[in-house]
Amino acid sequence: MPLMPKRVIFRKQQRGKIRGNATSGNYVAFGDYGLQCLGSGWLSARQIEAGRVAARQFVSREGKLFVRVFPDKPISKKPLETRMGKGKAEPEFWAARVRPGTILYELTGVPRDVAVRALTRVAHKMPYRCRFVERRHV
Amino acid sequence: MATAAIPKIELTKRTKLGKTATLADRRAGKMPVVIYGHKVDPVHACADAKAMTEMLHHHAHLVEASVDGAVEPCLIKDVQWDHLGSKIIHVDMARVDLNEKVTVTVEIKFVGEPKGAKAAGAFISHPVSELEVNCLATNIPEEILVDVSNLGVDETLTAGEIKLPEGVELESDPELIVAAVEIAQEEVEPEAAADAPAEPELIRKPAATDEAPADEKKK
Repeated sequence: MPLMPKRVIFRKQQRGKIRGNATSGNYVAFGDYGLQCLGSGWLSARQIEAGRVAARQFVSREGKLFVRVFPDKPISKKPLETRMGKGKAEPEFWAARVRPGTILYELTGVPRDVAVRALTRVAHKMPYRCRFVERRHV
Repeated sequence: MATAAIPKIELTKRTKLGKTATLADRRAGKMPVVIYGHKVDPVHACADAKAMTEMLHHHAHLVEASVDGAVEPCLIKDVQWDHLGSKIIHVDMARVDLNEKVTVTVEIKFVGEPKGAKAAGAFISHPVSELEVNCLATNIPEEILVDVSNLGVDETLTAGEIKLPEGVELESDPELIVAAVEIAQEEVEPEAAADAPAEPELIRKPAATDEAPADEKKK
């Protein structure tokens, strides 16, 4: 089941703009390897779930997977063949806002080559260009 | 130990500060650095980006910074990365007396194969990769070696249990879990319950409409 908040203050939100690069959540914090987003925009709850399932199926019962993004923004969409106006449409899906640098998933407890292959599969499910990153040690 | 040889870095004072000058410096292969501390005015300088990055990748904590010929020992206080975490864009250095005790974060390196890791689905998790320690500026360890070979399944190793090099005291919480051997658990797929709401619950309920009183008024 795709992710969505349990409780919200408002049912609908304005669309907003996604400017600049990621200033937080842009380093591997929990696992050893991660998948970093290089584009900016919305990532729907279904896409996040598809990535999670792809990684989980590849590593089966090994290791631990962290999903670093959460879809907390309701996106509304007017039904087809509807005239403009008559107020804001009903929420259609939930999305997370991502910016270049955002870490989407993290993996730990698996060898590096397995992590690379698992996260490459996840990257194919993502609507943005992604890259494999490791926890930095400086 | 860092006592063997303190790495040296050549710095040149920056005359022009601000965004434009900094970007120009970075484009020219330089890295902006600030040196502060010991109640002396801060010095804005820049180093050769390649040399500085290489030095930092070798876990340097204490460096001898030579600003236009004047040499002073400094401690690497903070390192700023770009948004992708691939390039170092700025370094903070603090002046240090070689005889004073300093608090620094030192990387942990795990040694040995945990005995519990042979179990099916077991893996070693390490929530932290650095520890805060207090020691003499000249006695900062490059890394702390942590032996995890005795760790069994569902056993944890806390920061207090780590044997630190001589003259090094732990600053982090001794109860902090550094390593644990966990068994990967199969994720239970939450079934889409029929009674699960399709929409989240509203924290602020919509204000009760005053229809009834209004109707009464109309009447």
